[in-house]
Amino acid sequence: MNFYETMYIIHPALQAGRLEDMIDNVHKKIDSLEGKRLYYDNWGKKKLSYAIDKQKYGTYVLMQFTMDGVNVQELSNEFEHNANILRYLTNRIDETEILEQKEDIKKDHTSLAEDKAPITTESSQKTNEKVEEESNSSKEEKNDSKEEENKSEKTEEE
Amino acid sequence: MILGKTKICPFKEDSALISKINYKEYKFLRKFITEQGKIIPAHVTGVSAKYQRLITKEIKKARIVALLPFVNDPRYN
Repeated sequence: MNFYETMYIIHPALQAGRLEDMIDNVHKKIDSLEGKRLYYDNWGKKKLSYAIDKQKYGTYVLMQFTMDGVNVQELSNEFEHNANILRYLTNRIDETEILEQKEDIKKDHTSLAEDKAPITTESSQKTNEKVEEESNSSKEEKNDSKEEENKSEKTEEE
Repeated sequence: MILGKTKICPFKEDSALISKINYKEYKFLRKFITEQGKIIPAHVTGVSAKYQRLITKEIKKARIVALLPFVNDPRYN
């Protein structure tokens, strides 16, 4: 089992619900290939440095996982044949490069986490949740500011 | 030949910067490309050969996922 990191760009036309379905599909694919997800982060809609398939914007998603090297090719096929994924990049990474998960995935992996480390007091868990909420809200603010930037750029172009 | 001041590798001065040589830190990598999007040679920036090798690899990864441009024509922006 090696550690891998994949960054992929989703078509900007996909919004909220469909976007989540899309990401869920990728996660399911990894699970079905006996991979274990370690980190997931949605960078949100960003301007691309150059147009891909005539699209100027795209939603960036970053994830890290462990998987058998043989199955990575199959995951690449999945990305390759998905018309809504503009671009993807899979890298083999070192164990030390694994980022700490902030939200989302923790809920899915609570059972796994409990198996590994059952010694967690309730109070510490609560504080963790609070921190997560705070980080979420700060993220949303960041996204808002990004959108504003994008808007201003658009107006300049016009 | 005019002798300029000797350049010191920024990564040898501050080892904390080494972890920033990563395609996800594309904003940091912008320091090492020109306005056109070309990678600046090490003899201009003063980066040592060891880190220049890492930087080029990471810039090329960032280009693949459109975080950095392959070419950038300033006339059209």
